[in-house]
Amino acid sequence: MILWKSILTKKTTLLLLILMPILLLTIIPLFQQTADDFRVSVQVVDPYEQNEFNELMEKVGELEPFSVQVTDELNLQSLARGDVEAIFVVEDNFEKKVINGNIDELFTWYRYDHSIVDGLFKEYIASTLMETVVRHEAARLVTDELDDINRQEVFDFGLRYFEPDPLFQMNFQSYGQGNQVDEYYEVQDNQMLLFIWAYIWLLITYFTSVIDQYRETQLLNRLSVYTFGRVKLYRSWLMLMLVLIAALLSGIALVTSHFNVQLATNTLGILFFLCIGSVLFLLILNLLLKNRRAFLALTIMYWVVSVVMFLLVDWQIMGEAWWIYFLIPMWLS
Amino acid sequence: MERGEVMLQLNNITYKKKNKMILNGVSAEVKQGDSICLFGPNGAGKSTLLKMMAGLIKPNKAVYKQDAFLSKPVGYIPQQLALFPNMTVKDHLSFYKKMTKQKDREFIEAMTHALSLNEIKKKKVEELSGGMARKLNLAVGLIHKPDIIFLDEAFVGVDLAAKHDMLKWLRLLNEDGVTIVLITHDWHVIHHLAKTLWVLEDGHMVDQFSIENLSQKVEEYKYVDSPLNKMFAVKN
Repeated sequence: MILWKSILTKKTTLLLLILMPILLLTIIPLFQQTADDFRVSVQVVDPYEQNEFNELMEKVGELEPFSVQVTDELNLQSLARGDVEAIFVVEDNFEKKVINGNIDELFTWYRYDHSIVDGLFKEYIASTLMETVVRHEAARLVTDELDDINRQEVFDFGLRYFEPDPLFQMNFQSYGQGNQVDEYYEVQDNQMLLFIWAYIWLLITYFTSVIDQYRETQLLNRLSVYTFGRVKLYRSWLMLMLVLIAALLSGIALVTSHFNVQLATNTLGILFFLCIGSVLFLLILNLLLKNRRAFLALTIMYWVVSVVMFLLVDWQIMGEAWWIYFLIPMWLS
Repeated sequence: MERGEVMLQLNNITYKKKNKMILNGVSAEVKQGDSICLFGPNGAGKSTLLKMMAGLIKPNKAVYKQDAFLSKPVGYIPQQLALFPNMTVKDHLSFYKKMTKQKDREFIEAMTHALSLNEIKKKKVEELSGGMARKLNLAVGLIHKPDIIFLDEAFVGVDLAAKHDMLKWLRLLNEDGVTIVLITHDWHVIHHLAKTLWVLEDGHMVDQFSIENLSQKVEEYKYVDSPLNKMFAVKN
C-alpha cells in the first residue's frame, strides 16, 4: 500500500522509530542504577563491643534496603549533614538485658528533621531483636526448671518456633515475600510505562499530522471521488498504526528483557489497548478539528497535562479524582 | 449517454459557510462533451461550485441533479499537488490504477506517452520539476478515463511545454466525448480548451456564453464596474 510505503520511507519517520530503542537503551540502565542506589543509610554505634550486638548486626547486614554502618563512636554531625537517616546507639548493658529477656531501652535512637524512612529500620531491628529475646527468655525458663539441660541448646532449639516467621515480624524486601532474588525482576515503575506511552503518543501525533498534510494538499478530496477512497486511506492508516504499535511494544519488551527487566504480559496488554485508544482518540480529534495547528496545540497540551498529572499522582503530591481518568495514562497506574 | 445530453443540472444552488454566502442561487447545466470554464475574480465561489459539482461538498439548499453519468467516479484535479511526496511516478500510477480498478492498459500507456511520463517513471515526486509534477497530478486524476473531469487551476506554475502536453491530451479526451469543467485565469488555456464560459462574481452566476462570443463579451465587460472589467481587458 502506497500509504505505508510513503510514511515508512520518510526520513522523519525512520528517525522517530529509531529514537525509541536508543532512548530505552539509555534510560533503562538509569532506572536500574537509581533502583540499585536506593538504600536507607543508618549508623549503629556500639562503644562496648558486645557479642549479642554483633550477632544482631550479622542478621541486619543481610537486609537489602538498608546500608548499615557499624562504628564504635557517636558522630551526630553525619546525621546533621544528611549522610545517614538515623543513628542507633547501643546501651552498655545491651547483652545482659537481651539474655535476661529485658527489652527496655536497649537502644537510643537519634533522628533529624529530614529523616523519613528510618522508622523501617527501627521496626526491623526491633522484630529481629524480639526473636532473640524471646528465645533467650524461653531458654531461661526451661533451664530454671530442668537442671540437666544446657541453656545454649535450648536457645538454639527455640529457633524452630520462629519458623514460619512470627506475625509481627516485618519483611522489608520489595517483592516476592522475601524469598526471591530472581534472574528477572518485574517492572512496577509506573514512570517507565508513562515514558513509553508518552513516546507512542507523540509518534501517533506525528502520524496523524500526515493526514493533515493530505488534507491540505487536497489528496483526501481527490480520493473522495472514488468509491470508499477516503475510507480505504483511513483503514490503511489505522492498520499501519496497529502494526507499528504492536511492533514497538514487542521491540520494547525485547530491549527491556536485554536488561533483565520483564514487562508483564498484562502490562503490555494494557499499554497496547491504551495506545490503540490513543490512536482512535487522535484520529477523531483530527477529523473534528480539520486544522493542523489546532490539532497539534491540543494534542501537545493534552500530552503535557497527562504527564504532569500522572507524576503528581504517582508521587502522591495529588490525590486521585474521578476526572483524572479522562487522561489516558492514568489508566496505567 | 449521448453527446449534448444533460449530465448535470444545477437549480438555484445556495451555499453558506460561517454566515458568509459563498454561492447564491446558481443555476446552470452541464452537457455531455461540454468544456466549461468557470471564470471570475478570487472569492467569486468558483472552487466551491466546482467541488460541489464533483460531489465533494453538499449544498445547503439546492435542486441538484446528477444523472446516471456517475457510473464511473469523476476526475478531480486539485490546484495543489495532491501527491505522495516521497513516492515515484510509477508508484502513483499503480496505486490509482488499483484504486479505480482500471484495466485499460492501452489508455494508460497512451496517456503516459502523451504527457511524457514514461521517461520519469522511476523518479520520486520531490525530484520532479514543477511542470512534471503537474502532469502527474493530472494523469492520476484521469487514469480511470472519467466521463467528466473537474480541474481546479490545474495549470498554475506549469511551463509552456508541459502546458502544451496537458492541453493536447485534454482536448483529445474532450473530442472523445469527455466533459471538462475547469477553473483558470489563463487566457491561453481558455482559448485552447474552453467552449463555454460561466462568469461568477460574489457567489452569483453573472453570465454564461459560448467562447465564440468572447470578443463581443470582452467589449461588453469594458463598461462593467467590477474586477471582471480588468480580467476581460487582459484578454486583449
